[in-house]
Amino acid sequence: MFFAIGLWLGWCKTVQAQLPTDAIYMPKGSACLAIQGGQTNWTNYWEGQLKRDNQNIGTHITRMIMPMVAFGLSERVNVLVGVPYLQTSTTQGNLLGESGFQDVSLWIKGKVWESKSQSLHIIGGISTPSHAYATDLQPMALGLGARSASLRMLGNQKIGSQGYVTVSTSYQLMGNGRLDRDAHLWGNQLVYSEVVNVPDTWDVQLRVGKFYKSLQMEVAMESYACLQGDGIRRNDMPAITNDRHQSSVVGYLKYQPKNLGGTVRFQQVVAGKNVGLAQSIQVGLLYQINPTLK
Amino acid sequence: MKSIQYSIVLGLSFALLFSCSPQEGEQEPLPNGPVATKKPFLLVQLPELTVPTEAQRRGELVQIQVFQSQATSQERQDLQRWSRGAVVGWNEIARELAARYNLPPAVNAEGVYPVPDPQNPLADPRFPFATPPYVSRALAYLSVAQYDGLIQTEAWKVKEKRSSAAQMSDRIQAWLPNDNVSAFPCSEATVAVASFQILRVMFPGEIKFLQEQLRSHEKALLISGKIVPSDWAGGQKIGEAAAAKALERASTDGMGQANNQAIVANQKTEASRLGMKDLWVSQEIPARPPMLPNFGAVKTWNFTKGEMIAMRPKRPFVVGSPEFEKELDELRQVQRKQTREQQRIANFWSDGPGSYTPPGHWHRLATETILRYGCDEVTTAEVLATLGTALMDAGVACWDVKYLYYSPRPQQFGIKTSVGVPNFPAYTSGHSTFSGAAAEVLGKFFPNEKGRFDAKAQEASVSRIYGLIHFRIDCELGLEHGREIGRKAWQTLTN
Repeated sequence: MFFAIGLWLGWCKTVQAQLPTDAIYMPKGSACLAIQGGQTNWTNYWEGQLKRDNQNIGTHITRMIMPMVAFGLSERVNVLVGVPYLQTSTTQGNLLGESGFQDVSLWIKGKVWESKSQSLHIIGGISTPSHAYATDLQPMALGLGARSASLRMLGNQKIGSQGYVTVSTSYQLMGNGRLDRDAHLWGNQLVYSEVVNVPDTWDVQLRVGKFYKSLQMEVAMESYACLQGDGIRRNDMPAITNDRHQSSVVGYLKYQPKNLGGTVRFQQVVAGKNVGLAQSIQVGLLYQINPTLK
Repeated sequence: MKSIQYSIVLGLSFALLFSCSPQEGEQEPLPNGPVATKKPFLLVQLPELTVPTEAQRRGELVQIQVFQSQATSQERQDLQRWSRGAVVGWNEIARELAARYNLPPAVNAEGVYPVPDPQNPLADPRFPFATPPYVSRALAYLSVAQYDGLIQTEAWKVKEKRSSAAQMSDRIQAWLPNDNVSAFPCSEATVAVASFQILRVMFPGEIKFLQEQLRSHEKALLISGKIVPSDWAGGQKIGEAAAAKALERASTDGMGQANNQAIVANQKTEASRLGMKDLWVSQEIPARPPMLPNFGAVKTWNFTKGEMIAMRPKRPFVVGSPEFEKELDELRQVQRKQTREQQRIANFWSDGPGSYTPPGHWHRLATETILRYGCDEVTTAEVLATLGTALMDAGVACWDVKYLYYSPRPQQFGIKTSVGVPNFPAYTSGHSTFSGAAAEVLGKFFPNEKGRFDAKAQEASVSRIYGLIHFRIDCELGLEHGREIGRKAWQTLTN
């Protein structure tokens, strides 16, 4: 079995490697090792609500590779861990790219209720920066540099024998971020501190998919929004204080005839605020290890 | 009723009245400006000052009683905020405005960078673009007006020795410490009004915000039990006069021509004649006109144009020379393996867009030390005015050097940056010059802190190498140049 990894495509690349957002479980004692690789690009971005480009950036590129592990604690409870390695660059201008491991994430996914064709799940996640990477120079920095805790409610409806619809929503509580500078603007206010109040976010996701033998096909709409934060000032750089909003469409394919499988995921941002108008493509390799048969 | 007109401060010795003493845990009592007689930076022409009679002041006490009984929690909070000191409070406001306005204009659809228009400050691009030179100048005039006004006010106080409102009436509480207060004229009014008048000119889009700050400050004093309204009015007049004098200088100091792009062609010719190769080219796309190419011609505070030319650092290493190649190599190595600590230092001192710039950074460091030492208002103003003029001088002298040699940025040789590239020639480093001047001045006022300030200046200077936007010589000679400028400021103060 396998889980989909959603990427938030804003300035911060993966704000965290996103929660598994499906209703699929590993059997008890099984483990899935996965490695995802991908690239996210944006040329246009929203400065506040203003859509623009920036010749001093050209196209902003984030390359990612992420090892992940999922493990079936039971038939109803799975645990997942992942940490992405990122590398940022631009095609124009002279901003120095950054690279390194970003945030380590851990999720526990549990099935809390199930009928013949419906099920309800709760997914709790935490993440923490893998090291004290710099967050000052957005959009080149690796991430927000803040811890997070999230809770997702997920409902799944089977359609026919092979189809499904999944709806979920989550709230993500963000810890404080830390800048190398000891003063920063929060809106119009100059805050004399290196500690930054990184805004919390919530999201909603709708996915529709179908299994066809070993193939899983899915399309999704994903949307997230910060609950507070400031806008990018006119012609300024983004910052971890920003109020980011983003909606995107996703296409996803998985093929896993046996233990070995592969995934392809494409994501296109369609609307946003204080984020890049990004496209992202990821491919993954996965390998499932089943418990020894008794 | 009596009125006095005078132009410079009365020849009184205030040395004993003004002091700093460290808080608990500090090593020993320090510092104090060594001057016995405080001299204003500018010769302020005072208007006739109406001195209220005691009967008049007594008549105003009932208003204070009403203000106190009706004080809102917001007003009490404001009082707390202002109680840290008027000079520091307005310095903070100026720094916040600097940060808000520190944004380079966006290129328009025609590929042109529009110039901010002071007549239309809130249009895009907003006026001002609060660049480091702009901020150094705004803070210099702010601090000078505060200081010049304040020493006049203190001179009046010595003559008048009026009791505070709380001392005059049992029904009025002292919400601020007011032992030994001489209430007329109100020093806070002088500082607030002088600051307001300067900042409304420097940040014309913020007049409403500044009016709110001024009203909040006045109300804080009126509920504090320190003063009655005519004390405020007296201080206000002095503040207005001090600001007027400062603004008169500002209007003729050459800032109006600082962005004269017509001289750039000649500057480049002159730099080539001096032997410079590969002159600076804007690294922005599309190319942005250089920042304030004629700021070097702006009037200085603490030395003459001739002295400034005599202090100019030597020509930097020429592109292609072994020394230049060695320094370029150093940057290549940092770029390849920038450590987290180097990155931290580069970010900490980046002071780029959205910040209060290096001059603001040093005003902040000064006010933090001042607060820690518990300096009185006059000493605070004196430190900041000396610092402020030194920083503006550093800006002028550094910009003079930048456009004299018109030297290239490392980005012209394949180096990237982790902090963003400023849009003007490299040599000498503005950060280094500002920081050298500031550390020199502050080290004189606070000798116990000299090591700390010097270390900070050194770090600010080298941060530009770590951020990959300056060659080592830009930083080292800039820092030394700055120190010399700081010494000049101290000489002006103490001579």
